[in-house]
Amino acid sequence: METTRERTGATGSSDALAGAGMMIEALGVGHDYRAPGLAPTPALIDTDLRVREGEFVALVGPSGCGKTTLLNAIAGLVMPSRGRITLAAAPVTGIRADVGYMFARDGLMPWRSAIDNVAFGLELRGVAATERRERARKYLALVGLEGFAEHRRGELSQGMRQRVALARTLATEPAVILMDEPFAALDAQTKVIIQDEFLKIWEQFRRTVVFVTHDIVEAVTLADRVIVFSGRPGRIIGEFPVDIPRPRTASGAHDAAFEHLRTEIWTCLRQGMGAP
Amino acid sequence: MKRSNLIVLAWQAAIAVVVLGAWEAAIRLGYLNPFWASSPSRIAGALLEIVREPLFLSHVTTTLYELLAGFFIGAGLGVATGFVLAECPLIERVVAPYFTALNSLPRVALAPLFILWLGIGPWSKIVIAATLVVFIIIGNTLAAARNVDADMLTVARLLGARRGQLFLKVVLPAAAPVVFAGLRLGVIYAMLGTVVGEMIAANRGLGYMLSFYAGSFQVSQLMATLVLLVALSTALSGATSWLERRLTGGRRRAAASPKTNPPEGAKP
Repeated sequence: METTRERTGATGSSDALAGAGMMIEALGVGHDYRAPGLAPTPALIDTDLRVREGEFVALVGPSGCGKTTLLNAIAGLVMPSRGRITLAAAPVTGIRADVGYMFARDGLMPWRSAIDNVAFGLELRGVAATERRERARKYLALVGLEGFAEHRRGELSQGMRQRVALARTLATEPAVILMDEPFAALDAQTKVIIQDEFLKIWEQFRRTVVFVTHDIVEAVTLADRVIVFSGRPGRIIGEFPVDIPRPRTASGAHDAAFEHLRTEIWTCLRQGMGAP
Repeated sequence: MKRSNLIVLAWQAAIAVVVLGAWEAAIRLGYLNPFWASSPSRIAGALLEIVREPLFLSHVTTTLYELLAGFFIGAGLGVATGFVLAECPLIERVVAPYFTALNSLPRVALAPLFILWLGIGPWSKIVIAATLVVFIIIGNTLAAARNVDADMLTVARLLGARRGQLFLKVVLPAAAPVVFAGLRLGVIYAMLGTVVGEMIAANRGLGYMLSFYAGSFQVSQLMATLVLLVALSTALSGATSWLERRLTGGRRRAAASPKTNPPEGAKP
């Protein structure tokens, strides 16, 4: 996978990253929204994004800034109007088996038990029943739901459903995990608890993650690098490495470095929105 | 049994006793003419009489046969067509105007035509019942397949589901509760089509009995036949529900109440 890059040096950080496995590379990506009968409106313009293997990158920005569009383009759900995206050096042409995706709604199938929902991706891949249940059980335990394997969606709380969705995303063991505000629909306490657990899991597995959120505290808590988007049409206006050492927690007190970074990102975000 | 269930049951029994009692009393006290209005006791007597008639069983089996054949043909075609149209939007767009036109036609109006074409035997009734059932089931299945939660479909696609897998593992099970609700309705429409067909032209069946008793002013026998029809459709509706539970493994309850949140336990 360590092929020579043809394009380097487009952004300052790429030199430092040269040699490291570049998991995701988006170059000059732009996207227009086309409604019938209307001129196409640009949603995302001229965006370069490079994510190293094992890096956790958070994308923040105002609503409608195209950060979800970029995520969906990486996932192969959307074909961007301009630019190109490669994933592990292969161009993205559609949905890929080695990419996991999680969003704010759980999308659990109410007729399946929690464990069968977690095993669904493996089932689609033709993994044998006993093996996929065993693997699903492992990931269900990882998100703290070993006692709820046979519960159906209707019998699970909002937080539990999102845990099952997380386990389902992890169960196919994707090389890249794309997350679109995965904890946005949860209440404040549940959110912090799940963030803590997710941090623990991620610090153990270190998969490449691109995480879309509008919550700066969440971005700084979880990510290695925070990328700030402007308002529509979205483009990258800031990039902030998060040097807070791991293991981190979401529930602990924030130190001065955290607060400083949070303020800096917030200032950048406000400028991008055109606020004084 | 829960206390509230007992109360409901008691009220239901009370309503039946009051209504039937008032009817019987109105006849006995001379407020109503039994020739036109009959009475519960006369209907019960007529029921026992009808059941003992030599051709009774043949009437019931004829109706049941026509109804079930019409239902299965109509439902089979309807479910299959509904899913095909849902999977192929282009075909759906092509046939939509024809579908709307046929659907707006009161299809029992086709009954005389089918009797002309197919004669007074069972096949005219089977076809009438099937045409009534098929459009209801197509519309219902199409709606069921289209209302499948978009998030579930997105998740399945992102997990790598191919088109066939999307249909078999997401669309079909997700649509099943609504499809079954349509099938329960279909049974009732199959009965409507069969009975109407038999009333227009037949020499067997409960519908034939209805028109015979009406034509000969035997109101008690007519009403007794209606009681039999209610019993038959209730039994068929119950059979459909039973089949649904068998096939979906009680899944309908879980699917029907996605919003019931359990209390937040130890795990948020």
